[in-house]
Amino acid sequence: MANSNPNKKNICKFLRARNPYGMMEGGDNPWLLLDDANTICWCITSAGAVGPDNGLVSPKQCVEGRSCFVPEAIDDGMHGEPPVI
Amino acid sequence: MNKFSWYEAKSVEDALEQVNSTVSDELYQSSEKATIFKSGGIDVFDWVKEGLLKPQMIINIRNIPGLDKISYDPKKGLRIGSNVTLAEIASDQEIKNQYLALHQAVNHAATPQLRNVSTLGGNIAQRNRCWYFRSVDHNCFRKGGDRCFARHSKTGENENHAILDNGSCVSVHASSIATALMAFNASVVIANAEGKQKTVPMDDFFVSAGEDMAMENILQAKEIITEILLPPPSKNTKSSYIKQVARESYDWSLADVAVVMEVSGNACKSASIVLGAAAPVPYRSVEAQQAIENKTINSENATAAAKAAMAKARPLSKNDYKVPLFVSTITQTILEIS
Amino acid sequence: MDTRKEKFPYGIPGHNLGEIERDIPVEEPPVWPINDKLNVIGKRVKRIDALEKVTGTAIYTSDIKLPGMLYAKMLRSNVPHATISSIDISKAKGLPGVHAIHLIENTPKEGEENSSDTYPMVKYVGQPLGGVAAESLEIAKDAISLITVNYEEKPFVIDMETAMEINAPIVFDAPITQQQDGGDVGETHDGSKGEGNLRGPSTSSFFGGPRGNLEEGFNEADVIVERTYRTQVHTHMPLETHGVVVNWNADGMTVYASTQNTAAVRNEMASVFNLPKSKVRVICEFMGGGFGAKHSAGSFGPMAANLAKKTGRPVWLMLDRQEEHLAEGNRPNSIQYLKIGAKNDGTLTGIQQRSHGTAGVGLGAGVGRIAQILYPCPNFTTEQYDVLTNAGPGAAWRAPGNVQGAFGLEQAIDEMAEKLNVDPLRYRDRIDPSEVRKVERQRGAELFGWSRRQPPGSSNGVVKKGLGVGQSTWPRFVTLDSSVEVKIHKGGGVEIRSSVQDIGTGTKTILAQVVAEELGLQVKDIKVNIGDTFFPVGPGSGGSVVTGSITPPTRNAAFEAKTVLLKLVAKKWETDSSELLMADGQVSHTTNTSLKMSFKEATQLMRTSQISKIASRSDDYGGFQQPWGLAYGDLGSVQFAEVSVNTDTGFVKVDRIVAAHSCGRPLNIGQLESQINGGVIQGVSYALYENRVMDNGTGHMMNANVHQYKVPLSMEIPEIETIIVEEYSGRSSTDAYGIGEPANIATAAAIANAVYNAIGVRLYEIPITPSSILKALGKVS
Repeated sequence: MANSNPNKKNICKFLRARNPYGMMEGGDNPWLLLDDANTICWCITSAGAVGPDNGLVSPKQCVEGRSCFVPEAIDDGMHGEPPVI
Repeated sequence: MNKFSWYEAKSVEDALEQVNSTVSDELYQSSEKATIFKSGGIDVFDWVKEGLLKPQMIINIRNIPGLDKISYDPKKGLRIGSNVTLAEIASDQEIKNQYLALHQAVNHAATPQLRNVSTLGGNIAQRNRCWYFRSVDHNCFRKGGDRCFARHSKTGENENHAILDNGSCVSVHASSIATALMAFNASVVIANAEGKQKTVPMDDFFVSAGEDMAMENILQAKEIITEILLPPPSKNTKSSYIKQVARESYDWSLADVAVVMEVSGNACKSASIVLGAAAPVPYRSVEAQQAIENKTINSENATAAAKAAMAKARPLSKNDYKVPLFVSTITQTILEIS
Repeated sequence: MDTRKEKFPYGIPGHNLGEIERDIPVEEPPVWPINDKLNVIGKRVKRIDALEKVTGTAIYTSDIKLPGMLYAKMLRSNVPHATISSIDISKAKGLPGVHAIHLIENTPKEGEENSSDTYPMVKYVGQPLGGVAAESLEIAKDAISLITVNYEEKPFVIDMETAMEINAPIVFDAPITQQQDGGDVGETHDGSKGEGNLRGPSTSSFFGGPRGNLEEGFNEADVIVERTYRTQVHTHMPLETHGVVVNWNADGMTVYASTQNTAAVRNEMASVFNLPKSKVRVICEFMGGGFGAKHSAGSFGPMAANLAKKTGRPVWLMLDRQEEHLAEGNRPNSIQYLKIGAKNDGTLTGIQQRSHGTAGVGLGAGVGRIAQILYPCPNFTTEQYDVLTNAGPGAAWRAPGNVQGAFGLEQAIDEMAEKLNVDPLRYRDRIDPSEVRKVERQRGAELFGWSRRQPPGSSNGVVKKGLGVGQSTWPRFVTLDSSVEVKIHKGGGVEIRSSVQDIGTGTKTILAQVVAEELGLQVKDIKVNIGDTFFPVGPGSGGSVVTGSITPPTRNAAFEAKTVLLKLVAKKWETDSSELLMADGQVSHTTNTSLKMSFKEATQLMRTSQISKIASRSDDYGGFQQPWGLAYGDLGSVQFAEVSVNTDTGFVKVDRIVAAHSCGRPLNIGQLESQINGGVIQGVSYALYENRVMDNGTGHMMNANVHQYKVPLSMEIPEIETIIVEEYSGRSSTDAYGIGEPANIATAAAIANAVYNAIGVRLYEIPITPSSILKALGKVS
């Protein structure tokens, strides 16, 4: 598998993955689905599983082009590269 | 929860002077300035907390003097004041000796904590536990609404509901103690504002949903239960009670049965058999009584009586298991007599 | 490479204990021997906060009271699917004592599902719409009841199978046209494939994708078991509901939260309100249960903060029991199809799994990876579908997916054993290569008395007894972003600091044990200050990662602080610090017995008032299976259940559970037993009692309370006996792992297998109720 995730910069900054393994919570890639079949996705701006545009929340949907998309501030120096997978 | 004032009733007369409505009337159609009774408060405050009952004043009848006595006379029977707590009944040795089924029913009601505060009058007057009736979001027949949600064949969640007499409302009565009281042919003493008293047999105290959708008993505003009377048992009277629950620790009945019999040796001379959680009010099974009377109390006859009791059962979409559950429970309860 | 070689205990004492040599970084502390040779670790140490908990003096989030604090209540929808045409707050606003009302509003844009209204669309009953802050909770509740929400209701769907039908009402209008492959780890796949309310399938996990050739596998099989299993929606029901107290002023935001993850709440609040993380402080001193539902700030966290912002006062916002059931997470239901093939000698040749589940308006209702990894099988596929319905979103729930999955798989394995005419326990010996589960089966079977087991349905009488077994596996995860500070104060105080929270399992106590062991002190000498994001970042309490993540850096930090102190002593004694040791509250010399000094005296040598060392989780010795923190090995368990089934009434009573578990090096036996008891009780509850009852006609949950949503009480709880198998693998300075999730996985399956053994008829659906038993026995016409 590729060592970096090209989609990282296209994922909305407000998406959070509630992983079954509790690992990425609070980490650098809080949207990362370790096991997609068991991960609840959450939008922290609408504070729910439904986005501010009334659509479904998931890394597939919460990308550039969606009306409520907000990009990560890439150069703030606070976010490192995603983990090697 | 709305704000209400509190009135501490000093006597039965005082309480009757203050009161102007009942919980049932208010749930069916609420009035502006309702004043209602509260005894132990277990049921009333549930309704108030849910926002379904909005009294202007609550009259505390719990501390009215004189309603908290138990007395037993071998000739006259048992008198239990309406403010006697379930815990007091549970620990009364005479009741255990003479009215075993009542003792058992009380001991299986609610939890020890709740039995310490629940009163007998409040227990038999409480409203049913149908979750649609108890939901602020479901305006059912019992609350003056236009439908029964539980009955619906596709969407009704009716696993806990009635299998007998369920033609108009499918709830089951919440008091499992009433099952035992009715089996003992108990009566309810009711006082009214005119200072009069009437003594009503249990069988007539409860009102079927078909007769009156608003009420589960005959109590009107300006009436109060003062006592419950049980006739004296003979030396040949035997009784038993079984309650089936999902959780033994604390639960409402799924099926409960009280049997009171006059026996001669191992034969049943006469039987009083009442089913709880079977119908909207405690259900006397005349069919079961007839089936067992003048028969030997054995497994075969007990089962026949139990099956007779279920002959008219009309289960709903999700409670057909209650039929075999009652057959088993009635059989066992009868067999406990021998 | 700055490494050194160390020999670690390796294996299971009493079974195959040996040694393994590992290259470890030089700065790592020396190896600990097995627990028998340690003083504090692996012992039955009383919780350090036991007294506070049992006397009620422990301060939980809902107990927090701040000067000027307001109380908040949330406004929630009471219809399952609608657009909101208007919300009238005029009456509520005028209510004396109301300080602020905050309504959730969006900025609608072209092309959205509901592009004309600012209020969010309602997709389930209980969805948050706004909140009120008032002088008292009573006033806030009154204000909520005075708000009128005008809905334009839409068709809705609650029942999962109805939602899968072609013409079912659609939960999310946006058409799903993209056909994506199911989820590979780290990619963007999320099961967003399919039509209507159906998303998926997910076909792989971080353990890999499909294996081999299923068709060939089934062709090779002599025996096939093919079944469909069903599990219910299960809500979390922590005794303490979700909630926060937010105090937001010019200096920053302080959030007292009932949370499993202080750091995640901090990060979320910082992101939502655009604050630097340094200005948000999250504190969780005591937790009243989470079970997976309390990983975040939720909807209530931002709501409380918005109300605090509007009022300039601290805001208390705790949910009530009904809100908890409706909107704060649940374990999704499942319909699982399983097909298993085996040769006559028992060798598995193929496993096929297909599941559907609903997490309401959310995703993530798969049935986990149990079928994929519990037993080696060359041919395997899984397809896991999410079905969207108009109900509250799911949340992680103590071993997400795995509990559902084990209920199916472990019954299928039991059925296979029967078809092969092998005892179910012997059959597992044959197909399960796990060494630890082998030991658990042996020790468990002996304690349980497995040899009493009779053929299915052969028990006499109305009440039939049955024995059953179920197994589970849980990955060993660690969170690498786990740090802790250990301070030694001049004069003798020792302090531990981390943002890691104690979810209630006893994290505080094990951290004190680790430091006490390392410094040769007693647990009472150590002060544990955790659950505060002003301290080094600790892991979230999820995935059973806490013990494995935070105890190694805790030991390492203590070791580093000790090293500094020993150097001071060595200087005084004019010796080498490597010649010194700390034990029994004293510093002493390994050979010169005349050199002794109490720990307290030693600290007097410090030139600064404290020695402070911060350590972070090192990589596993020998490396990870996956570099982000998936460790080698698993947390295996075997649980045995004994049940009584009344065949006349249908009531099932679980009489006894024997739970055999492993978690690497056990740290505190009493706390482990406690956690296993909790997992087993929840498993009993899942098997027999708990069930979210939804009215499909109105979209409401009918039993959103504590009396009709049935959890087991004292009389429903079986006798529980635990066996904790020590298993050393030399992967970190403590070699310890958690037990939280494993404790809950196998119970329902073991009970279902025991019920089958009792009555000779198999139940494929939970909860098992009098109704389902009487139906299975053909007693319902």
